[in-house]
Amino acid sequence: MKRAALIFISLALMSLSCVISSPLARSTETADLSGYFLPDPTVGLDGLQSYIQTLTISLHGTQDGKPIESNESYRLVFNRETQTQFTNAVIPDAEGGQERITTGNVGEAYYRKLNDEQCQVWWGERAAGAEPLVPARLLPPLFAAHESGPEEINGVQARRYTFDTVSLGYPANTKVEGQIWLAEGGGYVVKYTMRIQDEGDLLGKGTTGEQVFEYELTQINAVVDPPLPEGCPAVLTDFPSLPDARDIQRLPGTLAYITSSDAAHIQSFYEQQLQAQGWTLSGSRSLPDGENMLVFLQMEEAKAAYISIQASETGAWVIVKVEPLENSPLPVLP
Amino acid sequence: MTGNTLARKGWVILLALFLTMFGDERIASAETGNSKSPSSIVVGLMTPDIPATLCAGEKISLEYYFAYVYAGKAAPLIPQPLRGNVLINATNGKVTPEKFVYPRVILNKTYTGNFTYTADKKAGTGTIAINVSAGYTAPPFTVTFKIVECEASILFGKQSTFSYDVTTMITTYTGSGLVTVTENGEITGTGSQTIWGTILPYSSEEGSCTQNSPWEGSAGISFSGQMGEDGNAQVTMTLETLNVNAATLTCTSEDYSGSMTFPEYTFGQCEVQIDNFSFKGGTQNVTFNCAGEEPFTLAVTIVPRRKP
Repeated sequence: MKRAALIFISLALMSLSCVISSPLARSTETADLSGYFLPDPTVGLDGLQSYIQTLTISLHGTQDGKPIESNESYRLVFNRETQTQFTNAVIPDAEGGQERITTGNVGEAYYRKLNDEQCQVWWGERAAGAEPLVPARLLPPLFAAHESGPEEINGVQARRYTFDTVSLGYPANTKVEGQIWLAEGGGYVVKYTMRIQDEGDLLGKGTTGEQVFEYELTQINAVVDPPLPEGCPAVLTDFPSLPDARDIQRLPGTLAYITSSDAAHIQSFYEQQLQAQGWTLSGSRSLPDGENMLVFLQMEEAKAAYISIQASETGAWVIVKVEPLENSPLPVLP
Repeated sequence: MTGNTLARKGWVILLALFLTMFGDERIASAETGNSKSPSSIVVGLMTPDIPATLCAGEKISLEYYFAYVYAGKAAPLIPQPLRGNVLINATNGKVTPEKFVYPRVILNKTYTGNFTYTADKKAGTGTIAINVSAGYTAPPFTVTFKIVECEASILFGKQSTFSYDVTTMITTYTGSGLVTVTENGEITGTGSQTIWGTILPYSSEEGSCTQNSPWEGSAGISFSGQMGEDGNAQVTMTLETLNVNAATLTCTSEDYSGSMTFPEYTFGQCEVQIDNFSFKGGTQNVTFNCAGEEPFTLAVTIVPRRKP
């Protein structure tokens, strides 16, 4: 019996050892990628000031004898200095069409545009954990690669590597041809291309075809002023707020904040500040509910600014709305 | 403990270990779904623009994505075809729909799903956790935010300049107010509207004209509505009766002097509908269709006031 117990304990220890090193174990929450050639395709991006990431993933083949086709494309424009980041994704939708999604921010101004819908804008801070999509995260990590020499690509000195089925740990019957360029300074992925031809071992039983990855990092540290997505208006950044303004919100044509100043001081501030920008006070009114309304005109650019001052428990709410002047009378006039 | 007992207990432990090794649901390689570490299943939000502070009762539309990205030796390939399941849990709010099923998940292909989160009508901390399993079970992708009670400021205005020959008329119409919502979703508020206008003094070789006093008037506004389950509401903005004073335009020349009187004018009470009113704010075009007047459209801006 003692022998049986010893044999069992040995077996148990061996099994335990095997399980601890296995990535499938429930206790292992992070895979050991330390031996990998490229464990994290996003490596080095944190050290760059600006860049554009583009990624396309296409799949052409058959599933259960029927043709399947899928095309995804992603483009991320990033500029650390201007705190600008926009991701554009074109992906298949559930109805067999394509969905176009643009999200991103310029500082605290957040934008979203879905297909042909109106661009949505809000101002503030993003929720904890709501990280934007980074296309490089969709690239498979590489176990190994073969160096084939230095090469300049996309304006940076890089080292070119090739990889194959073994590099990815894919099934032997799957054919992979891949190339990757890593920047000599920074180690980030400048380009990653991969063509997978599979007869069902990788893509799944009954699915055969070709999957192609094309990833590039361009305009490295050279993105100057990323434009807003088409149809997305800029927020009102060139309109002044009082020095003690808090809870500031800047939206397209709108500025809102709280101040401890009173209505007279707010009016005086805007008369001084806006005069320098070519605005003139067109009128001011004290309204029945205690609000104050100021209207400024900027004739050169044909703009009107409405400034509402509303008292609240925590201070005065100042809401500014800037609109183009229209050369037509209001229908409500006598 | 005898050898037999030890062996029996040992086999139970071994069996458990083997079940752990070959169970259907395996833990993906990243520590958290939000981690940048390489992972067998990449999970995230296509629309990550969630504010750190939501208004009580606010509804947001979101889209998640996930992809099974084979991590090679570190996380062995799961036999295909794979069935994918996405479960979305939330606190202090409701998610619709909560579950998505993908009968056949292909390697390296991105899958997405649209859902909405409607915050409870009370202050607190909200979370949304996206749980994806497709062979492996990815750690939840979690987003955390504050839910606070909100009010909203409303502002609209129109300044127009109309010129004809030597005459220029400038008119201004503005309205503003404050709207609040109770815990049962009732929306109420008050505000003011004001109008003023004048014909600018002008002169030419033939003579000159001046208006003795501008047109002017102001009146109250009231807001009422009911917040829907979807976080949007239709708010009725009632513009109270507004009286505008009479004015006289006097013109003189070398051989002529005359005046034209614009009588006092009353704009009757008028109800204006603001569709899709939301405490998350924004600007929308609203049609003012008031009895006795030509309908006109103004851009109405809603600005949330989030209570600290």
